[in-house]
Amino acid sequence: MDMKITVDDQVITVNGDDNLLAACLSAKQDVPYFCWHPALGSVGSCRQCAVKVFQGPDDTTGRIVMACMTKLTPGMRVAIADEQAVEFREAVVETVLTNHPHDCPVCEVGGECHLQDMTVMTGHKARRYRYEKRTNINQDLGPFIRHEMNRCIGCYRCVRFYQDYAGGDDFGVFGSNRNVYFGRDEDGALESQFAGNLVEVCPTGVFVDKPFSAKFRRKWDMRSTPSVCPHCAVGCNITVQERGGQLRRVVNRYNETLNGYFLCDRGRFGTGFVESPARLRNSRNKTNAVLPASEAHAQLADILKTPGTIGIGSPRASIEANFALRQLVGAENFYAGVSEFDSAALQSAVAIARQVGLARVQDAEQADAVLVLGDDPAAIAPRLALALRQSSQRVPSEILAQRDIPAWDAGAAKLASHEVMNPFFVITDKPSWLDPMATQALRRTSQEIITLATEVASAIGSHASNSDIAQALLKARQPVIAVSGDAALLKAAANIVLALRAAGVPAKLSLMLPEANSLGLGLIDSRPLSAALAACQGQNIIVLENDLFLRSDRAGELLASARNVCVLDHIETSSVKQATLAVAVGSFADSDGTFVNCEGRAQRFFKAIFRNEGTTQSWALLRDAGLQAGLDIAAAWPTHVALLADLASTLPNLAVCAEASPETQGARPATLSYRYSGRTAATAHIDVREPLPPQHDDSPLGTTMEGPPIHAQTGVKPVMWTPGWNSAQAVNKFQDVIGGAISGSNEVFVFETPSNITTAFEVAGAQTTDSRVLGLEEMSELSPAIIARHQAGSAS
Amino acid sequence: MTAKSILTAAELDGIAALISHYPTARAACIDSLKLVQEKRRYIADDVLAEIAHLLGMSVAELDEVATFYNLIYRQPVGETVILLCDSVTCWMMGRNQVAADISKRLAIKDGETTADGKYTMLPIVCLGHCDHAPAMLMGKTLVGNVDAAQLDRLLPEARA
Amino acid sequence: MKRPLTKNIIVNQMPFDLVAYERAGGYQTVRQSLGKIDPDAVLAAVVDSGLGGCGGGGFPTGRKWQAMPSVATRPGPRYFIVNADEMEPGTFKDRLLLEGDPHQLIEGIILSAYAVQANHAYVFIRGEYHRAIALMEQAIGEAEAAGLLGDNILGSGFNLIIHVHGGAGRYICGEETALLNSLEGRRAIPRSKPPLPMISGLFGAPTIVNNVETICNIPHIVANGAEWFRSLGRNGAAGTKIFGVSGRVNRPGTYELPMGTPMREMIEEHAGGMKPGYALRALLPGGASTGFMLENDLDTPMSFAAFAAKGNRLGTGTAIILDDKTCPVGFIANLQHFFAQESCGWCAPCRDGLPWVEQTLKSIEAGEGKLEDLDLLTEMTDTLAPGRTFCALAPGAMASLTTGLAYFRDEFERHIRDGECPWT
Repeated sequence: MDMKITVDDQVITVNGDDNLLAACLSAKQDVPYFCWHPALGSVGSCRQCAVKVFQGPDDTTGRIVMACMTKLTPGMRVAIADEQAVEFREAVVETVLTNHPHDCPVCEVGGECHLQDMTVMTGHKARRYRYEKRTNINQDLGPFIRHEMNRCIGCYRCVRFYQDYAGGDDFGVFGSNRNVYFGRDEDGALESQFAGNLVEVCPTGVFVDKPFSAKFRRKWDMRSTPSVCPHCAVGCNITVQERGGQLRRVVNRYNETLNGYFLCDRGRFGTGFVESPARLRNSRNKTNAVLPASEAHAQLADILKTPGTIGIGSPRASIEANFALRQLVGAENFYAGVSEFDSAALQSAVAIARQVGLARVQDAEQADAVLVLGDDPAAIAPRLALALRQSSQRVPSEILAQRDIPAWDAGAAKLASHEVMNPFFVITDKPSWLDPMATQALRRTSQEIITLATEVASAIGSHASNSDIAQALLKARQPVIAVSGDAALLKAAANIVLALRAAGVPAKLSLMLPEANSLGLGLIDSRPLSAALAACQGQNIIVLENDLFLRSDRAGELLASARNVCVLDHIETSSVKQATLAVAVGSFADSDGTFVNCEGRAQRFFKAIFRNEGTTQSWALLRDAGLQAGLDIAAAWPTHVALLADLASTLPNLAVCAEASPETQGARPATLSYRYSGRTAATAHIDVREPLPPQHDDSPLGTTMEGPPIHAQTGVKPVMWTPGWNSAQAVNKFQDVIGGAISGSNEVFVFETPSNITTAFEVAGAQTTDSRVLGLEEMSELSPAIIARHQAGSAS
Repeated sequence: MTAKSILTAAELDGIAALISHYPTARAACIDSLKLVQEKRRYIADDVLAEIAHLLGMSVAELDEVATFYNLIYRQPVGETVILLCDSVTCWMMGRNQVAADISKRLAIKDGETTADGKYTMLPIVCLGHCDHAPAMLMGKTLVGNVDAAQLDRLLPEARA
Repeated sequence: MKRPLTKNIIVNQMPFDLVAYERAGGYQTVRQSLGKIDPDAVLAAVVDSGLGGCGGGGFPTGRKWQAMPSVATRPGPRYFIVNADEMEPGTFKDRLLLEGDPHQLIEGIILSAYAVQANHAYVFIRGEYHRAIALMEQAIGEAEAAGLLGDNILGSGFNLIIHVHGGAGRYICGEETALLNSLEGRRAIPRSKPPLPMISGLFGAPTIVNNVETICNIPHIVANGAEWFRSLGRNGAAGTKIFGVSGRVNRPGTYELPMGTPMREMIEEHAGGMKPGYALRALLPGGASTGFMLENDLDTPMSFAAFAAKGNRLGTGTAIILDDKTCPVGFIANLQHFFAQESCGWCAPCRDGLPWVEQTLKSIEAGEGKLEDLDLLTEMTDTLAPGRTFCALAPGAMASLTTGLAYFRDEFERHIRDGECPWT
């Protein structure tokens, strides 16, 4: 409910369900805070967001309140600039700094530190504390996070995120009074697969990104490029930061309906593969001799020239790269190159998505009843699992109202959450991370799960009272069914959704597919590797960013049956080893492209790393080789935009990819900050003349520090910064309202509206063998940090 | 738990009885720590881990609680813990002199344990014996009007 | 003078066991009430009595009970908790009641739980009160054996089970919501309000938390009526209260006196005045978290209202005397040490501000202070004022500092000017 309040004599319209702090921030007012977090809610522990509130028109004295713990009332009068409030806020920051080491110059967070920002915001300058500071011994928290406990200002955000939000139980707060210690009960790697978020959740430098620390640069000295995580089908939005042609780190890129403020550790630390020794940097021939790029590309052109060449696509390669290969070899010679299991699943996923539509991650978070079927979401789609966990913790609004608890009051809501739990069913073949949240967790074989899902659908259809699950789902207002597994199970789950909708319950379906572009590939082609094997009669084969040995145990047979095997990839794989021609290409971070995630969301990622090495993007490289081979079709793709236009006319299903790819209009947004330093000196030891900025025309983002801060048409914002807000929390300033969308951003979905067909899917019985290894993703497994994390093992 | 229990049968029974006092096992955690500390004097890491397991808590969760409360000892203490009040009335009535006297007799400072493992000396907040200040707890015994003569009686092996 | 609360208590003797207690008229009220009069009638008597919370807050007990939703609107478990976490420096009245007459407390719990229809009660006794815990457990055992506790008590259909929960230290457990967290096996961090414990308390259920002394009053109110109770007080206050004095008076101790008795009367008549050679300089009227009171205010009646009117708090009603031979700076530094140490660590200004206050005071006491330190301390009293921190711990700490800075400013300045403590 919107209402008007007065803040510093200015009338603003606010959402009455917010707290006063969120309302002030939404109105783009500066109010300092530490413990409040838009996703974690209010607990009132830091006392930093004090403002003055006046009771009625005659009150001239007012009363200091903590904005984060204050409900809004129509006509309320608030003073942020009130002298007493200003003094109090400065006193609070001065107090928490009594133990802070002021080590900003040697702290990785210096320059993007929320504590620094808030200190400046309060106007605090001079230090008066002259006694001994509390000091702590740091712990070894594993390969992802370095611990610098002395910097702690005790805001409790870390423990609230780790325990309450992410369900971790190996990290907490120890001791009491001034001697509180945030860490583990003993040294050891943090067990939560969301631990990396501590880096961004901590308002200062207690939890430091360890791999980043080893190749550290200041935030303002790195190029920031919007990107999409390539490590699973959720496609969380990330920002890739680079300098000197090296990927330095990945941070969360806020997207309110997808990943929000958080990533999983696979996403944050898995991208280390880009700089890992397993990276394929040079092209080679079958004798393993390094080929100059021009020679490798010429050989690729020769292969493309041969008629009947088979193209094998990949669910981890972009839409563009898959499409380019498909067009160059001809649709009939192009195969998705996945296992039979995945092939069947992809086919049904596409059919289901068209008819039923797909839930967004935000839908999963806001569900009031959940049914998980098949695999552990935490293994296959970690960020979605985290969203599902939140749904299970949400206290029904009736209970909150009855207890007089506003939804943002995290402390009170947590207490109330002990009383009531939303129905949450986890039916998997192996133990699931979500089991502790489940009102019912069942272990069943894959076949039994299909049978059970079918029974649930039919119980819903007949309103049978003998199924608890059906009853609970029928009572829900926005249930979500999250499923992963084989084609039959996906269909059985879709049938539950159809049955619920027929009963008037607006249920949604979340398909947890295996890879970043699984659904995108499924929309181009879904034929399995076995089909390619059947078709191969000694032709040439081009494999695009795919290790066939992970897809089928007959991969060797296929490669052996081909005349020439050309593998385009950016990592060393078994297939690369078997190739007669291995062509080094760019990773996602070196490329422009589009993934379609498991929600059917088409998401563009942009070239983020610039090295002096010519074209490496698969699609552009294939185009150039195609042109060299005299294939006219390649001439239709002089630019990325042109390729998307061709894609739209060839595969109308994927026409939306053009929408997801903002066009350059006017000045291109800067990917370097205003303060980017050393540009003229970085290469001075080689040549004192300043090098030209990288030239790159396939991205709507500029490569320099010149240009607007935001892409006017799409809201894409490379550098998250605004004066006074140097940390990740600068995002506040770019959201329409706190926790809402980034202003001007748009989202593009392939399956916009589900069809009105209500016919149930036919669920086949017998299934192909499931040879998937869950919880492991090929590329992230090559990241040195992930390898180190596996070696560190689990303490429990 | 397949590994052999560190806790004795009596301790396990005691914890089970305490759990029955509350609707959740976790609620019995402070009682359980105190029960086990009775005989063991302090809560060693392995003991903490086993109690946590019994109560369905993680080690960190239980240690968060154990380290919060000052009467749960996570380090070894002596047979008798001397808790000498340091709050205002006792301070006014000479607790610092008493503390110095005990320190001298036992050759330990606050937080230390005598070499023979008999005594540990710790400050404590008001013991609710202000009309007999200075006050202290020797083990479970509340002692008021503590002075040199009292200490001669209570610490016979360490007469001034 | 009537002494309903302490009539059974004989100093240095074992408390009455069940037989002795019943012989003295104990449990008669339970026998006459349970199943015989409506729980609402018990509640109404307490409301009418004007009984205020004796833990230090003085909040009307009846009104607290009325805030509990009815069984009809909130079915399910309800809890009744006795706060026996007496740890306020200078306070030693609840120990007297726990050790002196445990059955009186049990009778109070039975009647109170009956009034609010709670079937589970916990007595949260601080861990250092070993004797009180043992005596309380023994008395509960006797009451259970006599059918005064358990299922269908005396055929009334009312069930009640009482458990003693021994604490493990930490002053903050006396804060009622922190106490609930502690009872649930968590760190004793205060909870945000709303929801009040009456709405969502222990394990989320409707819960009442009352002080020991408050509950000990209940049997007498129910037995004799609200009017009788009100008649016990003086100067407009109701009932009796256990007051006390510590410090250099001739007879330090506790005294059950009419609520509203003037402070001077307690000190001079009951405590026997100051010891020879000592003069009263100031006093904290009700524990460490009340403000200093000077000699000229001693005629103030000891009631919550009268003290509130003076801008102070009666607190627990057990006074600590600051005499003229004790350093006021050291006295306040000791108080601040207590609060800094007992801060739970949850909210920033309390956790990090109180140690700064303590260090500053210790530095002044040691003769290392600067005049600017006094400005800092004054600012701190503002930073840690009521409403600015999460709970009342830090504002309680500031009560003595604010009044101390006002009343003893010359002493602070003397320490700073002379570079030493004049008392050492």
